[in-house]
Parts: sequence; C-alpha cells; structure tokens
Amino acid sequence: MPVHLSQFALVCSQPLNETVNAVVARLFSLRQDADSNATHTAEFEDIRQCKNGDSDAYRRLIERHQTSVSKLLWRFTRDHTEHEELVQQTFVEAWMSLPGFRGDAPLAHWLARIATRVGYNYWRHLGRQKTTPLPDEILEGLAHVDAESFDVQHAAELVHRLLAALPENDRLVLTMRYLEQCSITDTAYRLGWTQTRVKVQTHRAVAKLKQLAADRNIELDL
Amino acid sequence: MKTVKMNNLFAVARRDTAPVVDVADSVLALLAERRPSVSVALNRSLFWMSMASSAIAACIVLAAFVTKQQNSDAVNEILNMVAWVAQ
Repeated sequence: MPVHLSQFALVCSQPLNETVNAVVARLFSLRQDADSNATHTAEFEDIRQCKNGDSDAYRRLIERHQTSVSKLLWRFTRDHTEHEELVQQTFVEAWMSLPGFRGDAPLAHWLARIATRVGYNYWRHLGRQKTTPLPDEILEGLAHVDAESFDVQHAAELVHRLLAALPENDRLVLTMRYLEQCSITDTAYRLGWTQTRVKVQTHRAVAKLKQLAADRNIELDL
Repeated sequence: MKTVKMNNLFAVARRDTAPVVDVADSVLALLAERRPSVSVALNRSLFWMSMASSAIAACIVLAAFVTKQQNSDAVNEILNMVAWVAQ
C-alpha cells in the first residue's frame, strides 16, 4: 500500500513540477524582458543626450558597443593597430552621423552598418595600394590539413588571406554571409544593397573562390 | 583533386576572438580635437560670406555714386522746381 501511495504522489507531482517549471520559465522570461527594456530605455536616453552634445553619454554608448564593433572589424584586418584605428574611426563617424539616427533599427545594427562601411573603405584603400595575390602556400596548406583540426587563429588567418585574394565586393559579401552569418536581408541592410544584388554577388564570389582553388587542383566544398 | 570543406573552415574561423580594445578615451579625445576645427571652418565660411557681402555693398555704393553724379543736374532742377512751387 505505501508503494502505491508513493507512486500516486509521483504521478501527481509530475504535472505540478511541469507547472512550476513553466511558471519559473515565464518569470525568468519576464525578468529578461524587463532587463532588456531597461537597457533599451537607458540606451535611448544616452542617444538623446548624445544628440545634445553630451560626451559622457557617448562614452557609455562606446563602452556598451565597442566589443561587438571590434569583433566585426577583426574580420577586416588582422593587424592590431589598424584594427583599433578602425574601431575608433567607426565611433567617430557614428558621432558625426548620430543626429540623423532615427531609431528605426537598434543602435547595434546601425553601428554594424557604419563599421562595415569603414572596413570596406579600408579594404578599398588597401586595394588601391596593392593587390593581394593568393599565396600558393595558403591553398597548399588547405589541401594538406583537415579543416576540422585547425587551430582557431590559424583558421581565421587562413580564411582572411584566402578572401583577400578576391575583389573587395566579393570579399565583403562572403565575410558577411559566411563569417558574420548574416541573412540575405541583414547583409542587404548592412551593405545598402538590394537582396538580389547580395544573392548574385554571393554566387559570383563563391564561383571565383572555387575557381581560384580549382586552378591549384583543390575543390572547395561551399 | 583534394576537397576542402569550407563550411568547416568558416565555422572554426568564426570562433576566433577579437582583441580587447578600449577606444572610449581616444574617440572622445579625437572628437574634442575636431570640435574647434568645426568652429574654425564655420568662422572661415562666415569670413568669406562677410567679404562677399562687403564687396557687393562696395559695388552698390559705387553704382549709386556714379548714378548720382550722372543725374545730379536733373535732380537739382527738380529740387529747385519743388522749392519754387513751395514758395
């Protein structure tokens, strides 16, 4: 009989546990929403103060977003000094453009768009100085090493140098689609292109990359 | 022909972490440096505007003087006639 009672208690407790879990999950989600709303409110307040020329508010915005901007711009250069300069330039340009920020998109998206433009202009500036032919050792390295076993930094360096062999537009669209994992819509927003152009440019860039590898008897599965 | 799975390579490359940067101070310093340059540019444009308006004003004064010289006789005649009628 005690066994039956304990089984009954167990059966009864299961829906109760599920209810409690659901309530806890709901409370947690409400708390997250509240935190998110508080952050957005603080951000909008900072933006408003920045538009009135408050540099302390801008400092808070920089501190809040510099990590994500830094991460994005690390796709554009592997040089520490230049990377820091690009991050700086992004925030300087953002300050100049801030009066025109209407808040249609989150500030992070707007900053990402500016950072992408800064990075692209940096590539164009480099492209005017010199072209970057694809070194043979890069593709030979690709051919001999299993991609899954790559060291993270080595892989990032390899991808960076591989994409550097492409024209800026191709490199940009592949960086957005495959490294930043942006959707077609997001890529179009960031680059200020139409979605059709993003699709066509991606297709062409992949074809060029495959051709570069094929010239050295390597097939890229992408 | 060797096949390389680029998606795997991209996936590994995505895990790469960017160096930590703190640009708040340098950005604010750069902006502080730029602010005076904005006012200098503004002053410069105001200077050129004032020079242009002064040049136009000088031309108008010159034209008025020449016109007055050319028409002074006629004006004097009219003034005399007005004075005579007023008497």
